[in-house]
Amino acid sequence: MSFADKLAYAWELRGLLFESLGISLLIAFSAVIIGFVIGVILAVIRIAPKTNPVIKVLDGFAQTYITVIRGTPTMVQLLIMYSSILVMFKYVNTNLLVPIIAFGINSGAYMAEIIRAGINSVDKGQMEAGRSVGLSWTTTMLKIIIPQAIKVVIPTIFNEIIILVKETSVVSFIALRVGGQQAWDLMGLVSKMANAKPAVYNTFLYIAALIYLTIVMLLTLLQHLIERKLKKNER
Amino acid sequence: MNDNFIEIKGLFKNFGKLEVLKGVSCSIRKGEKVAIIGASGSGKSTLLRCMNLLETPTYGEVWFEDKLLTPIDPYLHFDVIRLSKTYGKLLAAYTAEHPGVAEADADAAVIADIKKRDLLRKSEGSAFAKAVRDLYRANFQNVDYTRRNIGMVFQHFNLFNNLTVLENMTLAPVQLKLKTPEEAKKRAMELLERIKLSDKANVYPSTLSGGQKQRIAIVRALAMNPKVMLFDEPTSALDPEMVGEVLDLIRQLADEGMTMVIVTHEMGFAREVADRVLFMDGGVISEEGTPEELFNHPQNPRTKDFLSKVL
Ligand SMILES: Nc1ncnc2c1ncn2[C@@H]1O[C@H](COP(=O)(O)OP(=O)(O)OP(=O)(O)O)[C@@H](O)[C@H]1O
Ligand SMILES: [Mg+2]
Repeated sequence: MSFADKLAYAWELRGLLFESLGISLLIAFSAVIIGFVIGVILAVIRIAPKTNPVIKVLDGFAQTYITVIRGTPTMVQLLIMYSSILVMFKYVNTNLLVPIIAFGINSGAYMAEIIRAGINSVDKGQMEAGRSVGLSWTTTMLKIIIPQAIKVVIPTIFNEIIILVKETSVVSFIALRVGGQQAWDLMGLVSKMANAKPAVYNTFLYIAALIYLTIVMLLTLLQHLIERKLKKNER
Repeated sequence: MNDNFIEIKGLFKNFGKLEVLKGVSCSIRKGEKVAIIGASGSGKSTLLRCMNLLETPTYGEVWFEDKLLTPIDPYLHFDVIRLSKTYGKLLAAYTAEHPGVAEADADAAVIADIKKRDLLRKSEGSAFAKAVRDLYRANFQNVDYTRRNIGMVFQHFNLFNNLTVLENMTLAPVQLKLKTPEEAKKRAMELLERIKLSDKANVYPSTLSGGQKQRIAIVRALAMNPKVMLFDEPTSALDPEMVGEVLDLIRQLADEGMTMVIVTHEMGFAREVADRVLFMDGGVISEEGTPEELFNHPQNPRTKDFLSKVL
């Protein structure tokens, strides 16, 4: 097969390629949102003054969560999620919920630590000023501390998003179904080619690499736009 | 009711093993201007920060307008101590040891002993627990609520960096539903007008000079219409040429009758503005008096020593 033939073949399969790209992106970005929400909640629990027993219990939970998730490979988490949910709800495994939840939970632990570091980097005087005008701890956190922390952590958060987008490729190890049909994420499709049509395997690998590279470049662009916008808010 | 805004009773504050305040009692009367002076590390800021509970006292009570901000400190309430099991036991022992002792003397001795040896424990019986609880319930006020009435100005300004000057001033009144956004904005603009910084309403704090930041921090506190203002070395982070504008504003507030407590190294300013000066040394108020008394006729050798160094 000539190179042109391989490209033509890939072009013929563009429908499948786009569909698999869509699945990869859907998993990654849903997981980012879930991860961010979990991350903010865990970070705030970790940072809250340990004045009442409820907070202490929640903090213990948060610490355990972060330790376990950061201490085990994503792949293992995904497979555990896959097999446990398979057992618990017989049919749920047939849609994208499993990888979305698995990656969301995974990312939540990392985001929590990133956001916690961001909150800690905000000058203690900001919280004191908020409290001294009569605002509650929570209001000060939401209106003053977290907005400033987010700004600090934008680069690190984007780093985590970029890692997550690429890491979702391990989802190719589990069988996905969308609307009852078998489906593949981007890497899943490439692996499939390895068996189905070995001659184009390499071409598909390069295409996948290019697609990931493009997504990451777009994310980096978005990061810079956000950073510039936030900076403008300062003058 | 009495005419004190703030009352500090038997205040101790430890940071871990470090004892910073070692038994401070003082009151701030309505309309009074009190300056706190003393060497670095003597506990001035800690005392000031205990007044609005930015620091939590280890022992003692803080009251604002007859409302309790801290938990009850049973050592301060003899009636409560008398209800404890420990008191009962010690009193019996004491009267057995000193037959024929007057009741009042035995009472005083036992209470003194309990305080000195810190003998009150959690399990002092239900009458004791109930008395503590009742006293607390009858007097307690939420500290967030109280803080609305106590403006605080920090050495390092602490303007909210993510908000514009105007937002800095309207956030709390609007969040706490004390004013509508329009009312809050109107009031904020009046205050900015007053300090001639209304052109800075929509800029972020990072673009302001130190003197501008501190004056805005002061009017941000004023936007809550506080009854008392606490200042913690408001000018010591400023370049010398900006000290004047900030002191002028504080002086104006004093002239208008604002009650204020000001921790300062500006002795000239303390002498001029204060009605009463507290000298802190090693975690206690070791001397207090009018500026005339304290600056011109200090009694305590430590005060003399301190003043000879700073004046
Ligand atoms: N949050 C804290 N944790 C531990 N130690 C503290 C804390 N805040 C204050 N201290 C210590 O308490 C002591 C008294 O501090 P404080 O700030 O009240 O002194 P100060 O009289 O205001 O001094 P200065 O004139 O330098 O401001 C100091 O030894 C200080 O190091
Ligand atoms: Mg100080």
